[in-house]
Amino acid sequence: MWRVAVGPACIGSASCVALSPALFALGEDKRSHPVRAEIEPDGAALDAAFACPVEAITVTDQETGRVVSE
Amino acid sequence: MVAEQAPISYPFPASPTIYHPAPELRALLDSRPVAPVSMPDGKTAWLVTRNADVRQVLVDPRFSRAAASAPEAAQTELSELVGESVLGLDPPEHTRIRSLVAKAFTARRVEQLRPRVVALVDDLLDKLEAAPRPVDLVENFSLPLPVQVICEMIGVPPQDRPEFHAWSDAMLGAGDATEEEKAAAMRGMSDYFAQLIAAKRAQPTDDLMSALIAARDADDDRLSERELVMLGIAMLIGGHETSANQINLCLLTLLHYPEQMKWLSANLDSVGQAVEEMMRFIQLGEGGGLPRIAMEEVELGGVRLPAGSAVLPALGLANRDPSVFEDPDRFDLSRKANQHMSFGAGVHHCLGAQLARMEIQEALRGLLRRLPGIRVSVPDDELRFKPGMVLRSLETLPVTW
Ligand code: HEM
Ligand code: SF4
Repeated sequence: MWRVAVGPACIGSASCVALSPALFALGEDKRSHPVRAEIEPDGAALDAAFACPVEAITVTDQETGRVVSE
Repeated sequence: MVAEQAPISYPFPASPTIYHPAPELRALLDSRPVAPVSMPDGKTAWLVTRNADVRQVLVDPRFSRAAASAPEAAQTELSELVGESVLGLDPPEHTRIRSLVAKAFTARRVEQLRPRVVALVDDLLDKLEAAPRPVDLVENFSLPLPVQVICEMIGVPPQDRPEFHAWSDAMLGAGDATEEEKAAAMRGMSDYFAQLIAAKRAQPTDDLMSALIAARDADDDRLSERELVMLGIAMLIGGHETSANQINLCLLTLLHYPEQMKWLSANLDSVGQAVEEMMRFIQLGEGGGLPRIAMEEVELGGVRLPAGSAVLPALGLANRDPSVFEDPDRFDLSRKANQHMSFGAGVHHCLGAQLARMEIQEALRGLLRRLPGIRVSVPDDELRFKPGMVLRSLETLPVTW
């Protein structure tokens, strides 16, 4: 499983939300939050991480502990 | 009321002041947040002004940029220019291309460029100080700064820069450029990039264009030759006119609000936050952003838009939405948590947003520190904006100190 997290750097550009609406949603605070913290490995999570203008999204492989979004 | 229902016409009414949106458009925020617009070709589009609705149009995948770039869609001046670029694509094509360049424009990468930009600012200010006054800020500061930065990033040699500035002007419609002139500029720019690519393919250099060529040559499916050319053009055009004008308009706005200018001069460490308020407040264009097409029936701000509706997101008006910004027409550099829409949102969120922010921050820091007495040497009503431009674009900005 992968763990998806959005850090405090998020500026609410919603690039991730537009790209991968199944994985990210804007909260009341106008920042992005993962819909689910744990997901099956999914390229859409990496697309979102690579598109984020402030690199706020980290995707980690829980088995290996490796950050796959770098 | 019958008059209330009458569509507004495009191009939109000009505002009597550069500091605020046209009152007719401003009023739509309260009276008709999703308002019909009659386009020059007789079609109807919808102008969207409330912050939440504008955000939805930019983020919701049911609104398509690709469909809005099709030849039969309602046209605004910019449509043709951007139709073939990243701005004219939807995911997944958009994702494929944008992901090739996104890494070069992240906050972290842009931060690494800051010392270089500070040095360029200092260098331009040295020359400015030595020039006879009044001196034109456009030609000597606000334009060369972003042009130099984006050219160094992409890898455009310095001697070629004046040429493509003229093309970029024509493509954005300066001087009411005719269709033929716009097309000629587009061809000139495309040919130029084709040559640049050939040269860099033969002899790669350490820049973004060479990296893109390598990515393309390693995998044909990533990027076609045409897409490579269009990407270069998008970065070049996106990268200079907007930033240059934003620098000019920041200075004008600060001078118009002297108490804010004083605050900023005393709080230069807060220039980051101040630039966000300037981005929010300044009306860079006249109302509508790039159009989108609703791919299915969508309910937006209480209006049921049938499938196929063209929608114009009004970024500048969304920045004056009282439900998001307290006292929105007040210019207040100490405003915090500023969720303005000036760089758009969603997949097309400005690629150069972090770069533009940093350039504008350093430009203003440099100007206020080195020329604290700077003022414009002509009254506001003598400022000359380039006619026909979709952006509010100053021809010259004579300053003295
Ligand atoms: C103050 C300066 C700037 C402003 C106000 C600005 C504004 C915008 C806006 C509003 C959009 C989205 C348009 C839409 O979705 O309809 C956009 C997209 C874009 N901007 Fe900027 N921009 C600025 C500076 C720059 C710079 C310095 C670059 C340099 C690379 C740049 C390159 C682009 C590109 C390539 C796109 C298209 C992105 C895409 O479709 O994925 N911009 N810009
Ligand atoms: S793309 Fe990045 S900055 Fe934008 S909303 Fe998503 S996490 Fe936040």
